[in-house]
Amino acid sequence: MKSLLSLLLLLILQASPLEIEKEIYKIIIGALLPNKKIVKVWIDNPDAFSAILRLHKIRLVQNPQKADILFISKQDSFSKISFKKIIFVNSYTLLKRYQKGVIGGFFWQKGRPNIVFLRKPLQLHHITLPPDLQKYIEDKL
Amino acid sequence: MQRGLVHLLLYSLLFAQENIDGLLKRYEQEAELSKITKIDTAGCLYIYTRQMLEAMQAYTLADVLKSVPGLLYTITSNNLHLFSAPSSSFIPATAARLYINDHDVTSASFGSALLIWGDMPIEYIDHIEVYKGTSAIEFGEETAIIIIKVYTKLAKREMGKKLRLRIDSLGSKSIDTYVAKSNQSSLFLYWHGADTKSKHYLKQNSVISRDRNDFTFYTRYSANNFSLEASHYLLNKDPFLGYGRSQRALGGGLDAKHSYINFNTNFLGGHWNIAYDRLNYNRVYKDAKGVYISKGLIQRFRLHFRDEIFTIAFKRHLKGGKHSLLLGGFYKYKYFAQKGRFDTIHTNFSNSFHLFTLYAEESYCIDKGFLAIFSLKGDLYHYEKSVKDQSLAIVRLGVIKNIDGWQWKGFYTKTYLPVQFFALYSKDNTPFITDPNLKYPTLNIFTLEAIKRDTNYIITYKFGRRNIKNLINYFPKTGYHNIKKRLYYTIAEVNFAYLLNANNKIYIDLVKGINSQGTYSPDIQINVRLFNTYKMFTIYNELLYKNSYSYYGKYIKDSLDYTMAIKYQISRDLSIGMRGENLLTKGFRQAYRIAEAYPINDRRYIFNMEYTF
Repeated sequence: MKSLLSLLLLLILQASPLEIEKEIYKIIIGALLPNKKIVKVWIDNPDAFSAILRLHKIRLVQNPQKADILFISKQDSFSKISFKKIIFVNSYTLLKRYQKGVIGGFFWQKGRPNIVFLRKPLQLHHITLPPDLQKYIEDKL
Repeated sequence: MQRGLVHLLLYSLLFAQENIDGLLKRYEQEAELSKITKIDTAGCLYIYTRQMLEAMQAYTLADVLKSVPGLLYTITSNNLHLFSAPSSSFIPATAARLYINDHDVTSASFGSALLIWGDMPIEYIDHIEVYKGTSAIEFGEETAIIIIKVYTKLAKREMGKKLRLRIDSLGSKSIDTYVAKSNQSSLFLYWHGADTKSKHYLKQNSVISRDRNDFTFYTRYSANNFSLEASHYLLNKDPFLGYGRSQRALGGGLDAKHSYINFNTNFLGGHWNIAYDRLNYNRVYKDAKGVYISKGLIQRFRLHFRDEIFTIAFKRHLKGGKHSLLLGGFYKYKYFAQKGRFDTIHTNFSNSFHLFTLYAEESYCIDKGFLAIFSLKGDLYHYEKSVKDQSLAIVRLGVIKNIDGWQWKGFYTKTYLPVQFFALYSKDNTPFITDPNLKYPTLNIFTLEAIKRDTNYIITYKFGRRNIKNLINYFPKTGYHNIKKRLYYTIAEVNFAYLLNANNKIYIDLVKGINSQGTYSPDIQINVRLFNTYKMFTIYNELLYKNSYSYYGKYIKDSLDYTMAIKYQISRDLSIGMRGENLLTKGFRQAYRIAEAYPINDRRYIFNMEYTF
């Protein structure tokens, strides 16, 4: 038992940023699509969303039309997609620019990682976030 | 198999139980840039993370360097920063190098960056790494045995603006602000201005002051595959005791500025760097009993240096199987001009040199947890005038091996210290008697480290021994010369870090130094640093003990420098803080040959406000 506790503590101290990022995306995807067992994901840049690629319950799709959720890191990508989809970004600039259509973002700002969900797009998609994510909802940027 | 499944289950449980707030906090800590830039093989390493710097409310590089174990960051009689090692006198200026984002800001004239940048502001700095007993090959740069690497904040992580205001009980005031933007490209802009007051002493009609004011501008633009940096640092400093016979300065001081541009890109499978530096350094001294130069006693000493440095550097990492090879080289052109006015004597001359360097470092993984390192570097100095060419080599051998839960690191380095221009060359030997035939001091350095990492503590034992031949010294009558005798230095250190949890940590360092020349500074250091967070409060306590010492017959009693900082986070974007330095007024006192000893840090209370938007 003692060795198990030590191992647990060691894991707490040694989890890599990528592993933690993966867990954060797992919570985000789970909150946005709670009823999907396998989530169809489209990403515009594998390097920017490598943590998502490590998740088990996702299926990567090549066509954004067939995806349940779109993860976007580049401005150019917005010309290829439909705003009717759930869109999540990794940049404050993109979130601010497309705040009417983008549901949220996970990005670095002011030297710290931030999660933001936008109220109107959430309502548009009839999504109610779990209680522990409610405080990350903003009306606008 | 069973054990693997248990591990997997525990790992899943670990994340399942953690809420999003905890994950974000841990993500911030684990994604610290200090974990990316550090080089474990480069020497004994001390890291000051962003979290630590913020808790310390550190404002200048001096606030940080004073707590590095095994180094004493002190001030010379003419108000310049230099290191001394426990028990030793000042370490040669050329032994330490300072890098800002891997750009060397060392001067060509006097061979050190700390004389100007020693008080640089660090609000734009993300984290600081200090390497001791290194050779600089691992960084692909010029040789040094102490390397200070400061890394600026990244625009893509800052994305916003910040304002920091500061005042203190001695009347100092400062402002720092930056703007960071990032999209496909990123831009970081930083401005700093400070007017820093010190405690004044009145000695027979002379005001002894270390007041200074400085201004900094820094910008970095990054896009796709390149980054471009530009910086300008302007510094004015009072002379403190000055440079004269009585060490009672009657005015003058230091007036310096340093500008650089630095371009980095990846090309042809390697990393390329092109940089240009320009530095102006003006010193004026007047003393109650005059200033002694090689031509006799004068009333007014005025010396102006101008440096220009052009750098082109290349390096490439080749990895395959058990091998990791770093190959690189650089060319530097360094120009040095000196103008002097010493009463009626005027001087005006210049010199320059070309430095060609090639290096290689092989890290070979013998086995899991067993690494062997071999480094080799060749330097060729070709001078424009008078000074003979120098061809020198650096060799470094080392092993890192894990044995029974301990990590052992052993390194042997054969290296040298470059000689600064103003010791090698002058016209008519004014104001100093120079020697173009000076030999470059050579060093043999042996270091051994044993590190034990457990879930909540890290303990490190360090032992180092070095000998130096041809150290350069100055006597007013004979000028610069090599000390033929080999000098020995030994240091033993224990560093203990106890991590109660992510918010509560204690660091204890014990250091003992032995010097074959005698004792010129405290030979025992004990540093205790505590970092605590309680709700919206962040508290930092720092106790630096140094034992008593004698300096040319002067007895200086032991010192205890106590610093405390407390910060209250009003909201996510706004914080206020207070930092008290040398609170017990028993901080370290530096002894000087003629003048009495003075405390390096004044007692002061600093009020700090930080706002991000």
